[in-house]
Amino acid sequence: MVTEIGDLEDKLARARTGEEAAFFELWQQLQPRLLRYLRVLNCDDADDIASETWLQVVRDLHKFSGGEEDFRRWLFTVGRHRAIDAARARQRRRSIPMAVSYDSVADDDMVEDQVLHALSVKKAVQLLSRLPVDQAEVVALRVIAGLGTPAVADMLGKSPGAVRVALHRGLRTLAGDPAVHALAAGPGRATDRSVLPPAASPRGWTCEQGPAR
Amino acid sequence: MNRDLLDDLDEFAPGDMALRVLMSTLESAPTPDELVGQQAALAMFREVHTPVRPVTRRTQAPARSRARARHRVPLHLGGRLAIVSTAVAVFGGFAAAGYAAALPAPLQHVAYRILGFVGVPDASHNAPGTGRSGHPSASGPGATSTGRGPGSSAPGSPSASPTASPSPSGQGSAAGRLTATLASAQIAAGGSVAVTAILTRHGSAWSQAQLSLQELSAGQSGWQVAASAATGSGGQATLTVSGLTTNARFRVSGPDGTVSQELSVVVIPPVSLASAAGSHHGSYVLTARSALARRNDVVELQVLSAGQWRLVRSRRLDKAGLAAFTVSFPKVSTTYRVVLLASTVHGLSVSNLVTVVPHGHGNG
Repeated sequence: MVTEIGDLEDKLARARTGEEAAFFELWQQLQPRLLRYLRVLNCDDADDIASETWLQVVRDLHKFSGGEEDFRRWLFTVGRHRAIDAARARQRRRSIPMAVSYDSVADDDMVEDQVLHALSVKKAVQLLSRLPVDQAEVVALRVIAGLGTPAVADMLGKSPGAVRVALHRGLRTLAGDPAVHALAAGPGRATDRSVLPPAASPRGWTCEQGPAR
Repeated sequence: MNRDLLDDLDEFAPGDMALRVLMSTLESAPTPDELVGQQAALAMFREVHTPVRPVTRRTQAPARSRARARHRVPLHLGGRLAIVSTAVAVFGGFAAAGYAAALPAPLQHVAYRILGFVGVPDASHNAPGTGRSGHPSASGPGATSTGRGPGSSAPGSPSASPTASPSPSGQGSAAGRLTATLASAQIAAGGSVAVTAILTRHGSAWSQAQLSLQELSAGQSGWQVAASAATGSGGQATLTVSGLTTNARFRVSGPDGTVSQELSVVVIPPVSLASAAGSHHGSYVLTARSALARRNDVVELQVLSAGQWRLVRSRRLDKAGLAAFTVSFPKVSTTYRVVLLASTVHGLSVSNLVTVVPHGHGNG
């Protein structure tokens, strides 16, 4: 079952007038996507960042004018900025960056515990997060946020061509990853260990490592 | 999956079902843990979009809070949001715990306690209703009652002794539980509010019990009884208040100190936009009017441009509820509207559309 995000216009209009039920439906449709995007960026405090994101969106909703994609772009832009803020705050708090453990990602037992239905959203997000960050973020914004190439380019400050290149590289890498094929085959397969290395030197930024300076 | 993304998949991994499954999984339906914070999000929305209540004194409030309460200064949106932001920084920490341990109710409670401190009056949960009662007529599983009608004055306020803020869920004695729901959380000014309450005792319907609907209107400092009714055989009663012209909170109280959660109602006042030729050649005057809004309420003139509404300028309503905007005659037909921004006493309201056409084309 796919979460549709094509009918947000009406909910958005009603939420802008203060209608709680409409906001609730908006939140239900977009919060899972926002969380997945933040987790692709390796934000382990994704829930906190999402809460701060929604606070800003709720606060400024009356000023917002635009359509459905504008709203999604705004939401994910705010989320990205809050994630960058969180990463910077994290950097200030510690002098030694914590190593990111990817071992648990491929732990069969853990995957099995967390699998919902045959396919695990969490596993899929983790697979995506192993891509180089610039590719992972582009794929996440295109697939999870449902944004078009121009919107992603505008959001990331890249050219549309650069976004397409990053998308294609990311898709090509994922297509060659046995863990992606194992995910499609179902949980618990012996081959669901990814061949992708941890993103040791990501281009761009992650919640763990902070924005590039 | 959108079309050009499918094209990308076809180009780089034709027929690769695994990649398609991965993409579908990434945009699949929410998992339960992704929706853990929904009550907290709703509480946040309510705090920002529902009436800003006057600050009243808490029994154990610190000195600074008491001083502010003495002056009865309503916290207007800007200042209040700064407090909300601070609160959410604390609240955010609990959100992470909520993700891990699935704690929606505590999350909501924490959010309510933090955000509610800004302005929730701490009236007693079991304040006796001494105001005018409605006319209960138990029938079937529930009973209905109607309170204040249009133009009537509010009844006297019952005494309300400060205690802890009520939790969002229904409360009462260990045996009794009272829950309340609204037919609509948003009504047109002058409309009616219908609250349906269900009273249970030891998990079973509690019939023939007297319930009071208490109202806290924006700008008021105490709860007032707006209607009362007895529960029917199903432990249910519907209490109605009509002629509401300002935002308000409602709760229902019953026997044995039972009290429901608070319910917020946002009132939407009408706002209109009219046009007339301006006094200067080449200008046009657009006049916004909202009889039920208040002086200094803000209206925004917006113009429709490339399918999107964009702010032209803002004005404050005068004491007659009017605000005038002078615009130049456009070169092409241009459509305007005004938006009355939400205030402490009403919700956001949008006017009719007015189209200004170039000279010689008449006006729409």
